[in-house]
Amino acid sequence: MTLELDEVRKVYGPVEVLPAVSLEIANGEFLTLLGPSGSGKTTVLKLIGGFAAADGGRILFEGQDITRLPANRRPFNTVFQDYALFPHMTVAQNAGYGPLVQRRDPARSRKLVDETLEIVGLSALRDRYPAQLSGGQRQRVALARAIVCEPKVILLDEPLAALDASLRRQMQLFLKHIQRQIRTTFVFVTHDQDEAITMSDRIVVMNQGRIEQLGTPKELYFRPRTRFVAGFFGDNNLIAGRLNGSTVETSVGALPFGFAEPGLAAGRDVLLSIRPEMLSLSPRGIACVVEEVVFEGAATRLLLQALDAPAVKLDLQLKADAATTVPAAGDRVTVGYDPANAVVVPA
Amino acid sequence: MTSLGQRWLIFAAVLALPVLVIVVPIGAFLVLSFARTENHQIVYDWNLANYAGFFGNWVYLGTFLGTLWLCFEVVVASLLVGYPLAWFIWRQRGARRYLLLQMAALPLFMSYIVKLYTLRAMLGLNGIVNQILVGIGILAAPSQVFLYNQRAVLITMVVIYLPYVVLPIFLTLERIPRSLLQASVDLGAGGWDTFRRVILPLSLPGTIAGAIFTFVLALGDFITPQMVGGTTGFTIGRVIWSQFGLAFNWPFGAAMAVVLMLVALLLIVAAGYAASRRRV
Repeated sequence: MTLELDEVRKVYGPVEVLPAVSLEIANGEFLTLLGPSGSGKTTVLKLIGGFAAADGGRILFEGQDITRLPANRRPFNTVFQDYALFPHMTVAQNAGYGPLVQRRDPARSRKLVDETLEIVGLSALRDRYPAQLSGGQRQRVALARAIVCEPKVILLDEPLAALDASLRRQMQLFLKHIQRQIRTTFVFVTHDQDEAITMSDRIVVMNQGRIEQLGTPKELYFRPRTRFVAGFFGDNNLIAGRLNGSTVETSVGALPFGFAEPGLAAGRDVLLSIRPEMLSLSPRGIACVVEEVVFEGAATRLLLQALDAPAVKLDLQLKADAATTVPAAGDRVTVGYDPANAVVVPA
Repeated sequence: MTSLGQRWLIFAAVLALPVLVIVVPIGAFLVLSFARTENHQIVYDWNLANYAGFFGNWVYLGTFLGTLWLCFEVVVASLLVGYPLAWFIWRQRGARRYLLLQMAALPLFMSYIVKLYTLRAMLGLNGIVNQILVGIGILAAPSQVFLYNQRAVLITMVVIYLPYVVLPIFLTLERIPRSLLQASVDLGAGGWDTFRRVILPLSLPGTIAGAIFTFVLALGDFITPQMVGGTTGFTIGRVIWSQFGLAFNWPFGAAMAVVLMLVALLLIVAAGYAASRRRV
């Protein structure tokens, strides 16, 4: 493991922002810290970068304790949320700042800056000032400035938040591409689930200063282990019930599932999590009435209400198919699913 | 929609006050500087004798150049004291920062004359400066070197004009986003590199503004030299004042005032140009 957080704690005044976070980050991986605002994800990044001091626990880098090492002596560089470009320096001067203050060999530094500007596609703009650049270009200068020193870890604090949607999508792919090219560990902070899923090797979902779940995007999407994670990624159907052997007793009957935490005891209150795209119209299953039909292009969305239990609402996505006749509002349908795609999480 | 005539009317109305209280008096001085006196009467006959008299007489020109040098020294000393002070205040957190800032600005609310008398008392033979120096054994007996000479003028001006340096520098320091300092440290810079390469260049506009304030104020000051300058602390401000107040040669005084104003204007334009060239 390259970077390890061991029971790291952070307190701001009377507020315990991070009670005790432990985390291992592998060499060369793209790890995303994902969570709503106030979840402590940015605090974790600050602690790694050395911009905040831990109130407990240890931070290890390649086996060395760096908990008390000042920020300028850590082999990490940061891409700041507002880019933090030096306004009085050109693109090339901004990119060359790290090598300059680290007293690297000037000739080698110049070559390094040239190469880095080439990688991020800014060679033509090297003599511009930040004020003369667009948002996306500034973003790339900030990235160039961070990667030019060849740091072991690059920390990115919501770097895409200020960009508009299409540019953000473009930059997501670009960042991922750069990361693969330079093979450096990226620790990326975001509150955007789509962004996290698109870019990450692994995602750490944080909530109220705790790690809810850590896993690959697929694991988090298909195998959520907490109610928070199950509800955090996209739309989801969560049906309340009671665990009973291999089924969940709900108000619409006993529903089978494919996966549950081994530790969950029978008789416990649980939620059955089924993704909208995993539900399908089938001859047998949960009897529902169609409340609304929403055509979304790639899919058609049916908002359903269970006949036996009006409190149970289901969200079903039908893949687009010109030949299929889609039910209309008011129709009665039955809904089924493959039990392998249903997951039980604690209520 | 406003017609062209109406717009001109509004423009003229906005302009009226500055023209009346700034342009007209300065214009009157300019006209006066080309006049001469005859039996204590001012005669307007458009001659350059006043300017020739000023530039041709080393007594006046020398005093003028000496004053420029003194003002330069005042600016340098003010920056050497004021910049670290502004920096120190800026580094403080929360309430203490603004308390210190208010204290730095407090002298602006006091009468100029009161401050001068206070400083005269402090620098005098029985003043606190002498008492401390004698008390800690640096001086055997109270010294007179702190008062009634050029050095006294320098010290007094630096003390009095300090807020004009501290405030603009503090304001530009405060405008520097904290993330820029973090970025500098993040890239491996130590405190000195961060100061030299980020903080100092970004606070240069405020530093230039503070320097101009001090220079222009010091250049026109004739009361401080009069109160603490003695016989060696003679400045062009005192010369001009004496032309109006003692010699009753208003045209000659006006000519010197015009030269003074042009030099000040030139410096302001030059410094403004230097500040605007920085991309901040």
